[in-house]
Amino acid sequence: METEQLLCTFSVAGRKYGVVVDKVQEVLADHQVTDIPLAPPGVLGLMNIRGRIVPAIALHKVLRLNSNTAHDDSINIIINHAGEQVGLMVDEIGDIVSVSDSEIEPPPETLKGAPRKFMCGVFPVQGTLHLLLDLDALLADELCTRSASRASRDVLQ
Amino acid sequence: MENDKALQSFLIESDENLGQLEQDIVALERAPDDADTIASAFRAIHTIKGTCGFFGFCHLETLSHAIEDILGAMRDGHLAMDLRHATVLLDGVDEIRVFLKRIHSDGTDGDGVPPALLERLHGLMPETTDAPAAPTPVAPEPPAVDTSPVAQEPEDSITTAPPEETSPRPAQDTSKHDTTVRVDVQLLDQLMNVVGELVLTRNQLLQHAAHQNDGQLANLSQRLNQVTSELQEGLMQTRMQPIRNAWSTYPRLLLDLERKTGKKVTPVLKGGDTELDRSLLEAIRDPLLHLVRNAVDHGIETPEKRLAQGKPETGTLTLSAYHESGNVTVEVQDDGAGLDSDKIIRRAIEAGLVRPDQVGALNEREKIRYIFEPGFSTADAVSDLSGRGVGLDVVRNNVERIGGSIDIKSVPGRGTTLKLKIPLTLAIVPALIVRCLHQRFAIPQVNLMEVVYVEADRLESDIETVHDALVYRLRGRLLPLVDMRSLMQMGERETARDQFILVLTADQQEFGLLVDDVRDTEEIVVKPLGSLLKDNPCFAGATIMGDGRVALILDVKSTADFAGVTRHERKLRQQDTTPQTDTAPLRAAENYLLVRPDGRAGRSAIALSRVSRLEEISTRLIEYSAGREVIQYRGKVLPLIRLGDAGATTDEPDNDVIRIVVQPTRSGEIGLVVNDIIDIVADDQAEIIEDSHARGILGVGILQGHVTDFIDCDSLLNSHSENDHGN
Repeated sequence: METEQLLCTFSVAGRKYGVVVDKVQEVLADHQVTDIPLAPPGVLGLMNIRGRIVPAIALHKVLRLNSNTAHDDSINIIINHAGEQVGLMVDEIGDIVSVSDSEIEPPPETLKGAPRKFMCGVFPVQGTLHLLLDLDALLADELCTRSASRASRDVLQ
Repeated sequence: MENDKALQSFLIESDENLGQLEQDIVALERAPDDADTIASAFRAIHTIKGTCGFFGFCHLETLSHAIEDILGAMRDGHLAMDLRHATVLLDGVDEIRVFLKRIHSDGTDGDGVPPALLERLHGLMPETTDAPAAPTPVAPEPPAVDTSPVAQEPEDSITTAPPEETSPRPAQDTSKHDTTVRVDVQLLDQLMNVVGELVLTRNQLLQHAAHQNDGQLANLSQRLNQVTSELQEGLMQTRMQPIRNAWSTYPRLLLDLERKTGKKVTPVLKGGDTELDRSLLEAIRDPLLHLVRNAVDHGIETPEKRLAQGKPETGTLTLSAYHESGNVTVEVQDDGAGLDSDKIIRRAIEAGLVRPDQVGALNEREKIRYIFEPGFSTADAVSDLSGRGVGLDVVRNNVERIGGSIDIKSVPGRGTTLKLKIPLTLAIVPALIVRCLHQRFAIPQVNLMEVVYVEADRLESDIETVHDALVYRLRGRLLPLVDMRSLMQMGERETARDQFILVLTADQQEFGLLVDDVRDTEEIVVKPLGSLLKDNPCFAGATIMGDGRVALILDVKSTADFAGVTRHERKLRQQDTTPQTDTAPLRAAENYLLVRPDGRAGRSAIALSRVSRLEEISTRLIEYSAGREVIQYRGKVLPLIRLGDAGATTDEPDNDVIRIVVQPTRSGEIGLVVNDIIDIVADDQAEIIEDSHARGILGVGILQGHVTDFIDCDSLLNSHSENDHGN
């Protein structure tokens, strides 16, 4: 029996991605972000989401994409992850699509480099291939967790 | 699902009942015929047994039944609690805990009660009085068994009593029982967040309403303001817990310790109702336990020793908690041997924490405080130091992490008091809001000593660089400075802007933090940063400001560590004070106090590291002792030494004030009287040409382009006293 999954799609630096809808709490536009000195490079800053302090992830950095789109109207997908909330900064939000399990294929062998470890599959939406993000792997990446200071300290020592 | 919930509440209740049971057993051991306590203990085990039957945990039921039988026999006066009974019963309680853990993890009560334990329990029943003694390690002689029959407890008082005990005080809880509810802490935290948000919205509304010229809006928002404050306050209250909760395990712990050490201790608990935030209560639970254990282990003497010293055989351990100036103070006091400051200092010297020649300048309190130093307590220190000190640095760290402080007082032969100061709540702390570049930060007030304002055109002259390290002269002391912008890699220093120096303390070390602006003090709500940012070196959390934006809260201690101004710096300073033996070349990068010894133009330099304080006093205060000039200084007699030619001092300026440089020497502090204090200079180029002809002078060198005498105060002191003998 085929099961369907609801996926939330979005784009970062011109590429299409998706995450499982169950993980998504809400989508916010133009939320104010406070810088964190010495933060991990992938963490853009902190947001106040109704009294909760939520870190905003610069997704293009963690995915090692070159993004030169200066976006004033950044969009945050707030996801629930391991009991905490995290905001993913994306360029554009797409539709919520229903995809059956058989349509989700493993990432192609030709997909190489760092981003590969963040993908758990590929699925088509109206003929365009989207990459399904593995949030656990993404948020465990050192660009999200390793403080910038620690890195520079290690170099010093 | 229903069953799961029931099971959960069984586990929670049983845990509470066990806690109660444990306390009662311990209390009964001391007062075997307290009918109320027996009834309470019986009730507790009865409830556990009853619920076991309901869930079908037959092994656990067997065990609780055995315990219930014994308590039943005590209730009926057939048996009186003594140490032997208590030991076995407490072992039984521990075994029930094991069962509960197993039930919690896999839902079954395992495969039976250890037969040995069951046998021991059954052996306590009156029929078989020749039961083998409990296999406890080194049990001290059992206290006299009270054979007087226990007052008959009316049967109905048990059956009508509430089936569960939630408060440790049975006397109160019949009335309290129906009015309390159990609430998940997470829910409270969530509510706290929502209220925080409400407070923010209220603030914004108040601001808006102030500009609207609308009477009704103003009224309504004022009302909202009030209600919100009350709500916030009430919610804060729900997080408060009496400190008794952290103490409840101590009687049991002390009983175990008594058994192990053969010492006798009576606990005295005062102020158990004092409330503090539950997160803080959790944070001090382990440190307190450590202190209590230490007090019995190392503080209180053995009964023989106590008797020999004319003290009562049983030691007293007093725990007290009370509110004091916005903090909660918790004291752990024993009437034991006290601390031996000489031993502590010897150990500190061995560990390289202090140098022998620095000891003279330390007072008793400062000496004792070395037991809080990391590195003081190593494993082998335990054997050769009869005082305490195992892991006290960890205790201090834990207490300081939550914004508290720890202090120690000790009278040899009379006992030791450790005093913990803890903030009421962690969730809301007073903080100073500062700005660095475009960003605001919150600095907890507990770490803030003072704020120094430096005008833009004074920056160059007031803030100096010693080997790439920034320093500021604060009242004659050198304060290491940390520039927030460069530390946080926030960008380049703007020039020609007024700056503020926040004088912060962390780990008993002061340092200055350079920021751009100082705003207001505010009560801020501390929020966690989340797991992604736990690696960050400088921040304790974040808060939401009145405008809804996020501001980071500085963790002063870790910032100091990150900037390298704590331990490292302290070590540096110790190196600076390396005794300058006549042959050793002067260390580079020393800081000097430049003084004018007398009315003439000569200059002298005194190593700043050897200056404790600068004072200005009236000449009228000078007194004489054995023909030498002295003053009364901080309750002591401070000998004065005129640095310049004594004859030349008569042409002092009109004012009758003299300036004194207070210096520590091997034989206590001395005061160098100087004509004027010119400056403090940091000079690593100072070349000193040795000149041992002049007494009290290490040598001559060129500092700031002037010929300068470098003072050697030790030899100065020697020559001073030699002169006296000559007279």
